[in-house]
Amino acid sequence: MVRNETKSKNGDALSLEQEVERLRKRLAEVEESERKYRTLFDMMIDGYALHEIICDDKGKPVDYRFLDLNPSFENLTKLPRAILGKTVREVIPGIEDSWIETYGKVALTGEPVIFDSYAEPLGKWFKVVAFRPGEGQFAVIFTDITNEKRALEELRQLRNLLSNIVNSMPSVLIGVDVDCRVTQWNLEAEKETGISADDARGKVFTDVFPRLAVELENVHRAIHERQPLEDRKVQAEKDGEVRYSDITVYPLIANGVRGAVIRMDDVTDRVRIEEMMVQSEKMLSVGTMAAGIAHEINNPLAGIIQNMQVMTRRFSDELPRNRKVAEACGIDMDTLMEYVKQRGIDKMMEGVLESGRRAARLVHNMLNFSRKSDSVKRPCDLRNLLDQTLELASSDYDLKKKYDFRQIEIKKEYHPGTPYVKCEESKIQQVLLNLLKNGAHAMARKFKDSEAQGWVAGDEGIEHPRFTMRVAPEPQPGEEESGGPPMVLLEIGDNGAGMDDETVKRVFEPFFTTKRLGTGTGLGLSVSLFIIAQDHGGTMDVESTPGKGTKFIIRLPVAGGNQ
Amino acid sequence: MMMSDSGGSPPAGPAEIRVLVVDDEMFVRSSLEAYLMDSDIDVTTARTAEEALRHIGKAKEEGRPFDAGIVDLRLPGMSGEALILEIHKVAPDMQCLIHTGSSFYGISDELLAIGMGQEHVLLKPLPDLALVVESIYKILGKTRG
Repeated sequence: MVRNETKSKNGDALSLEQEVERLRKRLAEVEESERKYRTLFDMMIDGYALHEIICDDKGKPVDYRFLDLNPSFENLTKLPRAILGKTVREVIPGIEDSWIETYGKVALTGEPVIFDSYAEPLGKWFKVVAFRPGEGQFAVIFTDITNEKRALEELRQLRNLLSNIVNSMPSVLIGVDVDCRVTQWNLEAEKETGISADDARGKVFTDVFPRLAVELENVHRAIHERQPLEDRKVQAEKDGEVRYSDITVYPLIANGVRGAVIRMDDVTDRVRIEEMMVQSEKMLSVGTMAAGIAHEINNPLAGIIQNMQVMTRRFSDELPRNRKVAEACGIDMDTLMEYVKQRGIDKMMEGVLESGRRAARLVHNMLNFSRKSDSVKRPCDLRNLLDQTLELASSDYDLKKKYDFRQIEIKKEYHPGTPYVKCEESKIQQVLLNLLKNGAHAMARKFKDSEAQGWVAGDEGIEHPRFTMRVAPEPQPGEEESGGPPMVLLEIGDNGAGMDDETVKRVFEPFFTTKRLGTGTGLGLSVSLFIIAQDHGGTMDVESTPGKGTKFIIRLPVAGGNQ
Repeated sequence: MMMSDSGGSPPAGPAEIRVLVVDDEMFVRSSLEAYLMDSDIDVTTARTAEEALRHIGKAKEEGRPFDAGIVDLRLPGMSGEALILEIHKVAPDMQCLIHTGSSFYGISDELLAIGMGQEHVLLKPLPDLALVVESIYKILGKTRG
């Protein structure tokens, strides 16, 4: 065709030369194109290989033959160019059928596939694209994506690490976007609310964490002003207990993503410790003051008591001199004594003496209690100590404000054969005083109404506040030995409001309190337990029935043979 | 001396015990004085340690030294403890009792060194003054009567 055309236009020789020239040019062009493609083929980073599929008589792919491949393919797969013309089963005898099946499908149907594959011996990840360039053939392009895979894995690990860190925080951490919707919700937030991170995500934080509603304004402000904001000692009730939290809102402004992180820390224990420290500091100074005052009181008390003793003696028959002086004054001693008796002066003097002695005992008890512990354990009769403590409790001003201790009936069941225990009296007294105060409070709660009805201690028929105190050896004489060391049992039972099981369980926990803040430190019983168990090797238990009362049971080891 | 015996009781003789009471509280002083007198003990009182030392010096000159002292610890001027140590120097035969309002008074090392012990301590207020008389007899190693 070409030749003919050329011939018709020009002379034959010239036309031929021209034609050759044209063809040469075409060839050069093709060669140039071929060279370009070859270069591309040779230089491309991706591995390329062309194969022809081999099927059995039924047309099922069973093998394939390598037709062409580029240097990158050699490089990536470590299969040399020498495999050209061979089949895959010859090159890799152990190849899995699934590869042949996958590629066979591409070659037969023309549908390309793309997938990620990990080459274990090479330790590399490949993205594989397989397609059909011609009938019965398939080509694959391998891309080494090991680095991407690694980066992704590292990213995943980093994300894991971060979420582990966030979750291990003792604080509640909540991330919110600019619309206050939850983006992050750590484990502590789950624990605090009972709502899972999945459920919380996307919701407005105040809906899933109502306690934080007070922070809504702070979140907006923090984001707007790009300043962290802090709220301290935010009060909230949780399970019937007052808890305190510090809440900090940090704005998030990185990479244009706006939002905030809300951090909430439960600082209830710290708040209570602070309260307690202030209180104990106050008590310490009051204690020192009281000790000083008590000392000063002893002198006038001595003036009262001792002079009254002299007076009593001088109004009696005891001294011969009395009679003589009376006679010298012109009074008959018997008449004088009769007058004193009839006017009740002797009883009054006795009353002054007894009142003075009681005041002296109180001062002594108070000093005994307030003086710094010298950590010396002495044999002591718990019955006496309990009596002393009762006397102290009945004069406790703080207690009297709420409840008059003297209104409480005291039932004592003291076993006569109770041995001594070795103890630090002031510490044990602290424990007993604490129990008596707690008991009085519990009874005050229950008997508020009956008190209004005007009952008096000793009324029969009506239940009224009563402490039952028991001190007894354990085991009691005649009882079977328990095997443990001999103990003295001390029980203080009240018939007050009692406690439910939940409260009983937590009653010895530090900082657990049912009283309002500032009323109790929540430390009384935990300290008591410490004193009994750690300091004195005893035990302390509690039994309680709501509405019926509470009984504390203390056991202290008997003083070793020193009674 | 308050409430001294105007009845002119017969003198107890040379065996009578002489006691010096040192206390700055008048009514404590007077109660002890009266009670001891009623118990046939010869009593002299002093408000301060300094006054007490003058009495002791005078008694020595007169040849009628004190057998015992009952000393309050907190005194204006010289303290009761210093007084007892001084007495130990100037009148070593005189025995002393401490009568103090500190409920938990523990005897000091200096006093321990001169042979005093917890049995020499009487705590104010005394529930029964008979204790004072008993203690005096005890430290003097005498029996009553």
